[in-house]
Amino acid sequence: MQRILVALTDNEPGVLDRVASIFRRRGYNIHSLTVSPTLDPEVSRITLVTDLDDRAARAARSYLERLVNVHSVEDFTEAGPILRDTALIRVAAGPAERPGLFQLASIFRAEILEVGPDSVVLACCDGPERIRALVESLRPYGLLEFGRTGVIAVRSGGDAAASFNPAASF
Amino acid sequence: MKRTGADILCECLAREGVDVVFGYPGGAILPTYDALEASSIRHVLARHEQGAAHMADGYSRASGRTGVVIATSGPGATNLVTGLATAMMDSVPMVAITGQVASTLLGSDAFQEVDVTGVTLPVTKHNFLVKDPEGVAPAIREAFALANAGRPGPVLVDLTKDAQTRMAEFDWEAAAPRRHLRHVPPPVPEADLERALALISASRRPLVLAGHGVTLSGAHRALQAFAEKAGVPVAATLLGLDAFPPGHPLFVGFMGMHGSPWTNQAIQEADLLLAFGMRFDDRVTGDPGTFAPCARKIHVEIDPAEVGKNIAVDVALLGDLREVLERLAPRVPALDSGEWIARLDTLRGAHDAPSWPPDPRGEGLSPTAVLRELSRQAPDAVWVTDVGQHQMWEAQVVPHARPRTLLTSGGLGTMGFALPAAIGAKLACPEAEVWVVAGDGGTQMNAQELMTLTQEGLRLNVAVLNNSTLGMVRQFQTHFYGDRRAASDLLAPDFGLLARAYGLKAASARTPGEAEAAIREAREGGGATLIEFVINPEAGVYPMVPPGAGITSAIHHPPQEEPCNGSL
Repeated sequence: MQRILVALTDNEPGVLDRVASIFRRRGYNIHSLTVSPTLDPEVSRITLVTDLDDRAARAARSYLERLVNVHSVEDFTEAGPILRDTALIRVAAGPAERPGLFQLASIFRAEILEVGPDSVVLACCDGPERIRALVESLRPYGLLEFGRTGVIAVRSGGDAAASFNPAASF
Repeated sequence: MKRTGADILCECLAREGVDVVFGYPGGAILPTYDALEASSIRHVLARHEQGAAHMADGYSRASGRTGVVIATSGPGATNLVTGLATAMMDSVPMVAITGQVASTLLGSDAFQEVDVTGVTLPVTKHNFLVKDPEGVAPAIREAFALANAGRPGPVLVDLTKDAQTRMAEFDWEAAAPRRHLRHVPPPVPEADLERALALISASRRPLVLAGHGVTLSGAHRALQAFAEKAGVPVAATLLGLDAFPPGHPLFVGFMGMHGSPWTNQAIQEADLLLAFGMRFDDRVTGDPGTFAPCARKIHVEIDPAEVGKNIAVDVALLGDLREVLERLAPRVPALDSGEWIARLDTLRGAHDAPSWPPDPRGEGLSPTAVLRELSRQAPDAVWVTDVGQHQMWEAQVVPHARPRTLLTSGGLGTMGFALPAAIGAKLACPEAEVWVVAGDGGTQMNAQELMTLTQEGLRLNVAVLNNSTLGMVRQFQTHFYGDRRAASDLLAPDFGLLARAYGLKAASARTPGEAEAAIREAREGGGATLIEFVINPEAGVYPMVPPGAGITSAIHHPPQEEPCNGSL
């Protein structure tokens, strides 16, 4: 099943290689990976989406925790986290297609970033499922370019762990 | 006062208590060698960086002190990889220092440049790339701390040439390690100890499985005290064979693929396994689905990643084995295990122990008889074995009465390990009698280190069990590949000429009488003799559990041969 792992790590060269290496050597694929510094510039937060069964997820987590550069690892999968993913999409659309397209954009709360003579660029920041739905709706127009950030996650406020776990504190 | 990075490195090594380092110089590490020459640290010049790495490993295994290996950039560093992987698999604390091209050239495919931190990432516990002299002391101090914290392992520090030559202030205190305790588990919670004690108290057929962790945590006495107080028998993994006195009434024996049948049977009949500093390796468990079906399991382990990795356990005590045993021993009850111990005696009695395993049939000198004679004449020796049949025969035959008297590559199974590791062991423990036991294949893998032995004036002996074949490969071919012997027929050199060319004394034995005399003369000569024992080329290691089979489904004899002894 799809897993969302969140790790806090040292913000220094080579850490991403060490983290990725845990997955590479066991043949686990990484679907998405986002890395950025936290409010503490010496600490990075890595959000990693991967497809693992329970046993493999437990193992991946303990191998990550064994890395010297890793402060903590949490599996957010079961916690009902709040997820966001951003997509930038260039869609083929001339003047005639624009009204329908703008209507779709408003339904999906997507932003129009650029309107060109025969294409439109949209940005959508939402949960991964909504982005997938938007892409399917846009497909008939013709998708010219598609870029996606990958998922970032925080615990929902209803999750008791949100108040004390280290990943929530940055 | 400012000092060069190389000076700072040598000062740090001295303050870490390093008395000897193993290595091989080259362009990118020359500033460090220049500084080393001016220090009080002894440098042992190997003939190949792999040899130097195994020497540092053997030094560490024999003494518990951190072994240090130094190599240059590029090929020097890549030659360390097998040595690092060997230490990594067996949790041996080691620090490797490599030269690197100047920081301005990094990534430019400069002469002798290799991405060493990249190449060694999976075979080290951690590694550092140091690009400036200010970074030298913090990296070295953290490397030593990390190599020994929690589960030990090798740590590599890659120093660019300019980090060695440029100047910086040396501040030992400011360079104190910060991150080595990050993943060391907190003390074992009382509740976990209570759960373990409850399982132990309820057990009637308990069995300790002792692994390398006993040695690594210095838990020999604590283990013996625990086992005696509770009345629990003790079985050992390959790297746990020197963890418990072999003559002790509670010692059951060697477990796993080539373990004794009664030991494996004991695991299958036990109602509680106490896994102490071992990791349920596939060579120990065989088919994990049929392993120890009746037993609850308590795992005492410093590395959380090992718990539940191969075998599910009922209670995990995450921490230092010695501390856990010292907390458990005063509270553990004396178990009513008399009937169980009598059962184990019966199982063992069916196999005619202690002369088990039976000598292989056939022509020529028996390898097990040679090892019995070696052990009889040198009962207090440190045994450094290579990888293959001789390694298993040694484990089956030779008792290891004291800790750190069996040094062998268990996890990685590195041929060519024994000779260089023995050189390291002898330098760590100059008073010890050290014996290499190797096959003709492994001896040829790092034979160049015979010259290191001579240059350093070391007095250790080398026993080569020569069957002119890659024996373990041949044995697998015999059993599992229709006896088709692909690439296992190995023409051996004249080991006498080889030894003499490298400055050793040499002997060759083809009969028990010659073997007895050769061993006696080598010992009287004080060392540095290579003895070739020409053994029966068809001899096999039995019992043998086929890979992936249950541990009691062992093969006890070659195909087409009648059982030669009571098999279980």
